[in-house]
Amino acid sequence: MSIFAQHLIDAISVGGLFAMMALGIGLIFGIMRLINFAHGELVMIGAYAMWLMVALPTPLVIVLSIAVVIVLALGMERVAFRPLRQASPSTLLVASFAVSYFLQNLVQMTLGSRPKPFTFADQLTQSLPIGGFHLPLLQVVSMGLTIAVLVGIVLFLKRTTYGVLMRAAAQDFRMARLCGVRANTVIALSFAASAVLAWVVSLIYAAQTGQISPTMGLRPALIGFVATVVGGLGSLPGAAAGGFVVGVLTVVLQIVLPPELRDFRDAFLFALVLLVLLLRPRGLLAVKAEVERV
Amino acid sequence: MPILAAAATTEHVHARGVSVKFDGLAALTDVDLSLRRGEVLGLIGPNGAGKTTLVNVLTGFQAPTTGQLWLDDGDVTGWPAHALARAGLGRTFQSVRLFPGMTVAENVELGAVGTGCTRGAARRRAHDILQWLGVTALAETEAATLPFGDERWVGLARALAGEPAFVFLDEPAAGLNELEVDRLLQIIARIPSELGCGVLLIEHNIELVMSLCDRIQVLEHGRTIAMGTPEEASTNPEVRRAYLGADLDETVTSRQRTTTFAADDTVLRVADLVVGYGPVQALRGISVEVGDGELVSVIGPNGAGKSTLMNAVAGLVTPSEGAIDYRGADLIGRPPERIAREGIALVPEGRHVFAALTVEENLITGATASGGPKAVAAELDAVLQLFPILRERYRQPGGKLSGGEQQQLAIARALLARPKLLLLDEPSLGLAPLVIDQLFGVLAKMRDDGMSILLVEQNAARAMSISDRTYVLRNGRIVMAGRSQDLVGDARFDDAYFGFAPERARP
Amino acid sequence: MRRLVATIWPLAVLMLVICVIVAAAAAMAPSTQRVVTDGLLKLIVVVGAYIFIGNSGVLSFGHIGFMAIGAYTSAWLTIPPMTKKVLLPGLPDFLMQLHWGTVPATIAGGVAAMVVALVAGLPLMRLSGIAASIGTFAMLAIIQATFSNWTSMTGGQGSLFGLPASTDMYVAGAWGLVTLAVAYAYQCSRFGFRLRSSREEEVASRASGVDVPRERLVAFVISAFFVGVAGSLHAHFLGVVTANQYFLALTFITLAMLVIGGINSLSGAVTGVLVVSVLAELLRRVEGGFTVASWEVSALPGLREVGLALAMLLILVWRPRGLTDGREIGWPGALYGKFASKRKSRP
Repeated sequence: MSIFAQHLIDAISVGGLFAMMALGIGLIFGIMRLINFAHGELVMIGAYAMWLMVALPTPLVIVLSIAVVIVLALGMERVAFRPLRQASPSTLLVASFAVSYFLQNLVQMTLGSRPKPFTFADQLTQSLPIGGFHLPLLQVVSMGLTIAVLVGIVLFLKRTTYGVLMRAAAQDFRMARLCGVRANTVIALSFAASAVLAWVVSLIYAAQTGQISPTMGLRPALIGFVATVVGGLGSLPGAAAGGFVVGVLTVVLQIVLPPELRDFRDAFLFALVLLVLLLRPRGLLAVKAEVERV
Repeated sequence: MPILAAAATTEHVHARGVSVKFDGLAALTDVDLSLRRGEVLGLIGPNGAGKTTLVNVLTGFQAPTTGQLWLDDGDVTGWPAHALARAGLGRTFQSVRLFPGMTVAENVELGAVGTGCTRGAARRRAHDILQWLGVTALAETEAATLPFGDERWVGLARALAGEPAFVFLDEPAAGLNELEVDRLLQIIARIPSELGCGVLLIEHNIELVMSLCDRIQVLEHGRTIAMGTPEEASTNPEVRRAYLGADLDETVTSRQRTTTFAADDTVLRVADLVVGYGPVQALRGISVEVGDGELVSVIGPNGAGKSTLMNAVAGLVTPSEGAIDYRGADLIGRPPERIAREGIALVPEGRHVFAALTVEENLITGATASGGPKAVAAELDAVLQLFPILRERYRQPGGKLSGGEQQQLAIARALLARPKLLLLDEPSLGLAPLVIDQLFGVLAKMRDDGMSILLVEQNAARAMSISDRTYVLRNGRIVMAGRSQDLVGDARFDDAYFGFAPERARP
Repeated sequence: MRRLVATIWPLAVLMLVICVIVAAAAAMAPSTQRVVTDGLLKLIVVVGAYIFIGNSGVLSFGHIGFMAIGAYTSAWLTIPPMTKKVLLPGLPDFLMQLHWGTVPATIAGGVAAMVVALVAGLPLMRLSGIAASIGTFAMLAIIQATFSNWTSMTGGQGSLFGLPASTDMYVAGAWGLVTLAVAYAYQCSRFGFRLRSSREEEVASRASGVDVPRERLVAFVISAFFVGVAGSLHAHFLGVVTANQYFLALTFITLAMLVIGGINSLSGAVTGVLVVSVLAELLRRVEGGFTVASWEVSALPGLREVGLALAMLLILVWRPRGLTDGREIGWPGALYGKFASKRKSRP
């Protein structure tokens, strides 16, 4: 029973992490048709910011590191993506590749390529005795945080005027502009929102792995992407659901695969992804996408 | 002498009982169509009647909800587009769809290579066809740089290069000038005899259809309403009614006002506007004015440039010449959101309701330009009075609404911007007559309440029945303008609208 | 005659450029030759990938997977059986005994990649747009996960050594010329022509009888052959095979080369490789520290990657459609006219 509960908690927390990742990527895609490869670097920079400021009081670290990630996200939009707004998706994608590569190597150049221990969330490594078994505090906190952030973002998107405008813009950018929605504002807002999501991932991810490195953002970003497509590009609930499903799948595969195949977990994961794509090329929760009218 | 020996030996293509539903809306209902090699069949009907959808079914681009497709005695229902093309069904597109980065010769060659020719044979055939059409001079031009009229020739040449047994021409004359239409008419007339093809012709230019076709089939609202010889079709009152929307003389109702406006009351003044997409000019220097509290309609056939005019005013396309003056300010170069915030709201063609957002959220988005939902509480109430169905559907996603309901939502959304000038692009498209009646009643009422409205319509009679003044747009030019009631009685109106001079009507 | 010359002109120019580079490098230091060889290997990968990506317009993230297949195939075939027994105990008997020369092994690497491309491509080529790109990425991830974990067959995360280091500048150059010639021949063939039409306007292409998934598959398989060959050559260049080499970094740099040069033309693919390789090499020298007059600049590790990323961003912003704008090199007589008409067409 307790093993099952442990697996369940694992599945939910990994699922939640990737849901946040995919949502951050999906937000930008919906509005700009940009697959932002550099989203992983937002995660990485967030972790490094916390690591650098670890001596400061905790609340200050939190506020400042969030600010750093937001400024970085807005900066990459302004410098790299805004001039390319009219360009083809492949050009945009390679530009985001370049941004990602630039940030990774900039950090590597200035702070070194070796992993650093992440001590900011040290207190979270204790475990919490609940109902007969010990639950690591970190998992409780990260699950709570994930749920809080996802609920928060859903409320923002559903209940606030700006949230509605962002969803409108994600669906039909041109029509939203015709309604008076300011393109630059909405795009900046989406980058800021995706930055906040990235920051939460960076905190949880770094605390869980206990170390940070210039390439730490790569894997979550890759899985985030795939999840966005699996969920249905252009649909925000789809992105979150896709992230969650892929996250849960990794945990389930880890559990059900026989030990000798466990190393091949990623191969199985991506094979399943392929299968989903082949069965539902528009993703699990495809919005009735604008199929080109002949 | 035939320059082509059609590869396929098929004699007939038949569609039987074809129905197509989009999201529960019927685009086609139980339509039959039959085309024989060597004949020209005209397919006509108002916008939104389902003509293009039917051609899409015939060429494998749209799977019918029910119904079958036969080539002679072979059932080809469900075949993919490329397989039907190789079986001898060629087509052109309303929007032409050339391969932009290729030369004209390459475009035509591909038509042959696509159906299995080698490149050498294709090159010779492309040469022959371009010569047959008399456009050899274009051969080495890059397709993206062609003017619109020439694009049409290339599209036709490409379709013929595949040696089709049947060729479906979707509005081949749209956007052509009178001379070009003449030439096209002669060419199409030669296709059955010289190339041995059966031709299906979708065309808005009724006179062209009447003079070319052996038989005519008329669609309205996805159903066949008439079929027969050109004589039968042209004397059929249903057809004229379906085509022009209604009998012009009868429907001019009291909704019109006769007041004229003083020049200094102008809300919008478009002067000598030229808009080009690449080298193609969609608008060739037009001037349109809308007075304060005036309802002005712009009518004209497909491809006349009506939507381009609307998009230019709303800031979606940037004109290359001319001025758009809105209450003393030049709008050219401003982004669409700024124009929206100046008080111009566009209801675009095709409605563009945010499908995943609820009706409420669609309306919230609409209020952006006027200060957000709180600032327009009173307007919201008024809009919901005007369109009570929206109150019923308030929490449903916009995509689940029917076409008519979506149109109401699109207009309601625009009204919440508290526009001083409302731009409506084809609001009647795809709506049932009863709904159109209601809609136009609402428009007239809004005008009477003091709003300025610029209305683009293909449904000429309806538009003129409520508008104060009308511009007739063809080929990117204003060919006629005046008070709507004067135009209705004007003998020259039909010519202006359909675009032919009486003396050239029949070759 | 005129048409023939005009047709093969772009290929001739590109091949000549490669020959000139190799000839010039022949007189230089071995270290320079290694840089040129590395560039030529990238050329084979990029031109190989171009056969599919450039002609279909579908961005593939999976090509580096074919490189891995080529490299491992070569390793299985050319490492001496005694060494294989130690390194790869899980290898099936028939593979264990083989000890091929590098040329047949290189071709076998290409063929193996083709087989995988055929099997993976049958379903993948039905996808389009971003789903297709992510699908090819999933393929890469599966290949990568398999090679880096199937320890008994591949040595896992560690390096496989013992391959003959037979790839020099001339071998790479020769294969580069072959790749260019085949890529160009394909592009001019009716298969390439049909695929390019689907890139330009998919709907019209289908209406003209083009079976788009099938044409994509043809290109995917041809393209896999050359990328597989490049993988094998790369393995024989380093003498070592490591699974991690054939993953994201290489995918990124090769795609960047293609997009920067101009994704729609063979000239673009070659230009991209040249420009990015030269840039990277210059930056590498700056990074290592240098002396100008008596002013010494110390080493700046990491500068190369940072500078390269910045330069690529600048090029993209400056020319979003790539340096060649997707055009082939025009031949002299037509050069001026083409340029002029292009100017007119893109105001």
